[in-house]
Amino acid sequence: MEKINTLFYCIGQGFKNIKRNRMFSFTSVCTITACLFLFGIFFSLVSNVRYMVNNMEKSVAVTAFFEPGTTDSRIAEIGLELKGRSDVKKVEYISAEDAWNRFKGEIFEGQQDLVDSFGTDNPLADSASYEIYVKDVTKQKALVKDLKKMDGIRKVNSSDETAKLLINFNRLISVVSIFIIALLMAVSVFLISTTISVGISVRKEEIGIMRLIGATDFFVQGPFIVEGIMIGLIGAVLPLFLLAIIYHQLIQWLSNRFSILSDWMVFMSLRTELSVLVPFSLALGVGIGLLGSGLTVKRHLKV
Amino acid sequence: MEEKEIVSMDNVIVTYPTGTQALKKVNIRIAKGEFVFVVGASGSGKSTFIKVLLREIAPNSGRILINGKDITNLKHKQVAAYRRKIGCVFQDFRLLKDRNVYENVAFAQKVIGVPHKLIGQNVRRILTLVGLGDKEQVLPKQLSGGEQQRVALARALVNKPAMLLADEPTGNLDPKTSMEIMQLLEAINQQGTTVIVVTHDNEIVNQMRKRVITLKEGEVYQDEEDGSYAKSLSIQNESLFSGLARL
Repeated sequence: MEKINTLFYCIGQGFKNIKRNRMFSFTSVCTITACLFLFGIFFSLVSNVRYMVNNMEKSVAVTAFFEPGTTDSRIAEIGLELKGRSDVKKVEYISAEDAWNRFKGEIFEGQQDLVDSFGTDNPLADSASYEIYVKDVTKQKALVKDLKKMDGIRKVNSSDETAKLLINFNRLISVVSIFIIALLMAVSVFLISTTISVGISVRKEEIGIMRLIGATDFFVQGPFIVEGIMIGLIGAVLPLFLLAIIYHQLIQWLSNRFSILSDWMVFMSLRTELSVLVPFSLALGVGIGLLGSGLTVKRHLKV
Repeated sequence: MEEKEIVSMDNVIVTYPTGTQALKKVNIRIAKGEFVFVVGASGSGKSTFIKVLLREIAPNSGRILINGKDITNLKHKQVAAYRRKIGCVFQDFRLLKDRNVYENVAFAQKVIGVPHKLIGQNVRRILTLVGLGDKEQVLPKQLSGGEQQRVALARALVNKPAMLLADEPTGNLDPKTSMEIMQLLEAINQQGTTVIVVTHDNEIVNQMRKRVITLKEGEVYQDEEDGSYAKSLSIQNESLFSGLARL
């Protein structure tokens, strides 16, 4: 019963501390809001770039062209062998006609006269191929090496450079995001710690009296821990609302403004984005509050 | 078997990090229900004596039993539980300035986790006992020094301690109010609470005719039942005051 009463007391006092120390609490909440808002923007950027990169990775294919005169049965054999590989997600046969039709569509779009000048000739007559999609873009190099050794394969076109670029971009974003998140967290922890320190120094006399009349560590420290958690929590909730509004508007604007890039510029939905960002931000806010206040009470409230 | 002694100090030595030996092999026994004055000049070890009993500092050597329980080497977590069994008042009252009389006293009950509905009746009972039943909603700054000390006493007593420590409780009060506070302490003592008063107020000590333990340079200089402020200390204090007056 004593513990429950003390817990309610700590929660009540935690809120009172925020009210009493309102200027510092307000400053802390604003700073954490700003930090977590930046974090949210960064997180959204990283997650969306990763999402786009993943989409691009899915569309990166290796193209294997056949030797002239390769029989249909050999082509089928190669197809079966490729489909049997664990690193291959999809194998698609592109006949010479398909290749020419695709080329016409992509390159000669709107230039029917030019297309007509070829008549019934197919300039890509020897360009039947397999388009092979890998499960993981990092495994592409090994696949290309194996393809080049196969009988009946004339040439292998791979997007090695694109794959490397994507992998490096992913790594860069991960490193930068970890660095920025760590920096923002340190700033936030420092600010909460300062706020709690001020609260402790203002209430030094009261804490001394508490100690003398037999208050436990939990009773003395609890309100400051609650104060830190509440500041962290409020500082986490506010930017989530802001981010939700801005994200929704921004995606709509980008999609309308850059519709030409809509093939690869595919954004995560607000719901998907928030399903990760909300628990992450709240946990981060509470964690920052807990860490900032916990370290401070340990340092200042020793008997 | 129930302990007869509430305080039992054996060869207690306290040396501060500066090298000052504040208590030198002090041996003191105080029985349950006693009223004891601890007197002495500045630097005699009175404050250290109170700090040791409040467990603000631990002795370097020796043994202290309170109500038969050894508090010499209490762990940090045990200190809070120990302090709940003793009440304390100070010269500067140490009240929470932003809370009214009721809240100041109720605070002591909240600290030990007393249920809300019991706090009200306990606080009102104790405020009536110290004569402040009609001043529940008043802030400390609106009270006289004597009334503030009564609030401090109510806070010290509301958790029904076995022992009350008073460190210069009349230090900031006029002689008439000082005597009222002492009479209140005597009444509390008569209800069974052990009262230990550390003071340099020789008039009070001489009027009350209680047991007086005199400390001098960290040692028990004199310990007498129905005692009085030692003459040598009075002379020492008088010369100190006259020296200060000349300055």
